[in-house]
Amino acid sequence: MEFEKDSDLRLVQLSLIAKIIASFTHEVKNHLAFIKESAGLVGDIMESRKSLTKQDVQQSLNVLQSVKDQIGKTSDLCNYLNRFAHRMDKPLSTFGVNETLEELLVLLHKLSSQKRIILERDFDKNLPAIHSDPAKLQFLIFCIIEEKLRRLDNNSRIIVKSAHSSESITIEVIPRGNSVETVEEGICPHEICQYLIKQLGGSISQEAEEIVVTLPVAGSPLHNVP
Amino acid sequence: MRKIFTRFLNTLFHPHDYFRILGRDRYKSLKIRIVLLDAMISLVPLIIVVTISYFWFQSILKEDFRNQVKWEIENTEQSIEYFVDGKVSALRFLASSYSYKQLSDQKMLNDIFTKFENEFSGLVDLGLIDSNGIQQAYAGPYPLIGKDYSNQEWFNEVIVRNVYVSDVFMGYRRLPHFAIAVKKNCPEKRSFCILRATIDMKILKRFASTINLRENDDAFIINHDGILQTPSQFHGDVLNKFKLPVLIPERGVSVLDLKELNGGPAIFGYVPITNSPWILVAVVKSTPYLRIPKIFRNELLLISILSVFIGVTVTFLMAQTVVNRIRKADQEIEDAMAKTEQASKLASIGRLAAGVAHEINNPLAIINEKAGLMKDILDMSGDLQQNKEKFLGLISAIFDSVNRCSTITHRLLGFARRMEATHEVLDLNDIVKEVIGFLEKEIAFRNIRLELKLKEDLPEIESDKGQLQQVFLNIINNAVDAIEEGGLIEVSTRVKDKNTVLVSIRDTGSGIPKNKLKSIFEPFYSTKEKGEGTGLGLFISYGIMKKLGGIILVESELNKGTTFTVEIPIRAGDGEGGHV
Amino acid sequence: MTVTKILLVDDEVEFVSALSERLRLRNYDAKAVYHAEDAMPTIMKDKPDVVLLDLKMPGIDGIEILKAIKKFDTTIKVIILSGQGDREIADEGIKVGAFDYVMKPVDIGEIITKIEQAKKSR
Repeated sequence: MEFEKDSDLRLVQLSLIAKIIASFTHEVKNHLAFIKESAGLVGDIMESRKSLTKQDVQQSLNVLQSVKDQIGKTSDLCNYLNRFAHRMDKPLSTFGVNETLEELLVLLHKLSSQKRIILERDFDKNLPAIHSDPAKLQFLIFCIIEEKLRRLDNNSRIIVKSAHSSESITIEVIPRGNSVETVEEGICPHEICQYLIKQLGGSISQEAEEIVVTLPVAGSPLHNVP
Repeated sequence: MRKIFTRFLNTLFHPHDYFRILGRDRYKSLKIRIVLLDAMISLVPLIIVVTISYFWFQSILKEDFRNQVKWEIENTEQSIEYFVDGKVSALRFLASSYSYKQLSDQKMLNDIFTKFENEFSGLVDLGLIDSNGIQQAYAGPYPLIGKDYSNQEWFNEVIVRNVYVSDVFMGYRRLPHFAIAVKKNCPEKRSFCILRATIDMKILKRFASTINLRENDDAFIINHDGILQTPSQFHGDVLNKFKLPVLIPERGVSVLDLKELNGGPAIFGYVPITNSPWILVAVVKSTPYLRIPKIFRNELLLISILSVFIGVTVTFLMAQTVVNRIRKADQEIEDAMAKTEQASKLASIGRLAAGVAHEINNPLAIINEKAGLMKDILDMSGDLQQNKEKFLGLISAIFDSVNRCSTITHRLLGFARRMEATHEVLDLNDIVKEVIGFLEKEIAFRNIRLELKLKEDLPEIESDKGQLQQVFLNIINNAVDAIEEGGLIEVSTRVKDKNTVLVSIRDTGSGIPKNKLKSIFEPFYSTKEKGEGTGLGLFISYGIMKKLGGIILVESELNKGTTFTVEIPIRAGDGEGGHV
Repeated sequence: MTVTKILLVDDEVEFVSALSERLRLRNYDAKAVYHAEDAMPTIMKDKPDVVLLDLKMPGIDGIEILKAIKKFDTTIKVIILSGQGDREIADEGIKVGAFDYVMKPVDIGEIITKIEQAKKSR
């Protein structure tokens, strides 16, 4: 039974990653398209005129600047993907929860913007680092967010909030908006979430539509077992 | 007959050939084989030993019994012999102790008789007979004075032999007796006389009876002509003739086995009684030695059955344990393999994603610099005309880099899509053709003829395209490797039943030996050179099909070829452990 | 004021040619080599003030080149051109003696600043 859960887990995890990659790719494609268009525009300006007016020059400069900005954005996005990908390197490490949440939210941006749902962050700046499995944590939060994304109407918001107490860290996923009925099947079955939180040594609670994930600061007890 | 026997052996040792059992049933068949074999190995010797023991024991008992009979007969013979000797001696003593005058005196004879009778069990009468055969004196119940015995055999015998023991005869009053006569010298008469005592046959009978007789047994005394001297239970009354089945030796006990003497086997024991005209016969039909074996047999049977039962139970339990361990170990390997596969998949996609993120950086950096350069030129130099070409070149370079980025991300996306096992609705024939497409070059290169027999109107199936293709790719690749050069690969699709479709891949390659057939799906099984191939292909393929709710079957004949058949459920089944 | 001599070592031709041109527009004497094998000979010949070095060139260990440069002339300042995911290598480079690093895609302003800092520290 243990194994079956694990392999099911893997499959779902792969689905999650696939979704994130799809989202990333989509976004990068957009950026690239913009860059291409911009470069094309400058090219057109260059080609069409015999000589360039000051306006042309200024316009070109502006366009080129936006290209550079876009590069920056794309580069950032790649950075996030890179960090996200590396979370899977080790099953146990010391990491900052906010960073992992940020990666997730950045990478899910495209996904959420499809329904014009805004992902908001409310991070505790003094959140202590924890020693746990970052990939599993991202996986869990993703599962929760993914479900909310499906259940919310367009133009809603999801707030991801982090907080801590002396012994634990809490991550709250707070949907703000109207719910919709959906026949679409989610990626993560309920049992997976239960399994994950157990592996992380924490707990999940639900109040109305808000979901709270609590993790011990000392690290997941299960993982301490060699 | 031979065919049936060979078939039986084959089924016992190679059930796979007949049932093509693969997968979970493999364990059941293994279990059955272990139990059967073990039971046979333990049962057969047990049965042999028990049977041998039984008959051996029985024969010992029988021998024992015969010896017992022999001993009893011997003993009885001795007793009779001594008895007769004793009586003869007594009579002789009488004869020598008394004179003719005394013995012929009736009163005296009576007196002697009375005294003798007290000591002499069975004595009926006592008589003195002169040399002419006339009974001169007689003491006894019968009026026999003056009886003439001169013609009687015994008279003539005793004259010659001095002592004579007679056969039993029907005496006065029709009671069986026998007589002992001794010759005495009678000087008064200048001749001899004979002292004769008649003894009741009952004495003999008593002796015969001392042989331990059971219900169906018979012991009696006969004379050399077979005339019964004592009454017998089953063989006639006194003075009837008893048919002697054999020739009686002069002396010694003989014990024979006779068949169906009045139905059933019997032990026939006989011994001539020394110094008498008689033979002691015992016909023993009872078989007490069988009774013991019966108990023996019952107990033995009980113990045997019990041990067989215990043995089979223990064997079964052990087989169960062993096979379960094997199954568990196999499962663990499969699980570990699958886990490794999964983990490596995850690791690889992680690495790929990281790799992509990294790779994109370079073209992005290029675009950045190119755009930056353009900016610089625009900023710094006034004359743009001379730079026009350069600008266009830079823009072109930007385009190239954008394309490069696109390619990279596209590759990433493709990989991600393949990661997701989906249940899509598929056209099996298309999938097969696609796979063939990947291998077409190799097949043609090796001069292998390819035949496709794809059934039209094959129902659409619900499954995972990527995984199915992986399986087909693996099998067809193996087929190509099996052939090496020339030969044929035939791929066909058809409907098996309302729930299943099949893909068959047949090659005319070297084939797989029967004893290796069941191992080909095991991990690390490979006939290739070291370093070539992992030996995991079929193992993984088998696992994939299992998860998809199907199965892979194989038939092969050395030097003729191999056929792999992949059964695929039309509707996404729940394969074992299967999930999305 | 002497012109700062800069050598760029990177196998990505398009990138490094554009960057070196931009540097030249800003009055730096910037030269580029695209093969790692050419790095040391060119350094020994030209004796640049600052080397912009990409550590992740195919077939060659960038750290080895860095060490070789430092061995040749400790006064040459090396600034590492690092990809996004190469933080660890960059840190290792610093330990081995690199002056600083910049992440690709580079910000021209940042690079200039660091070049100046490197020059000052000579």
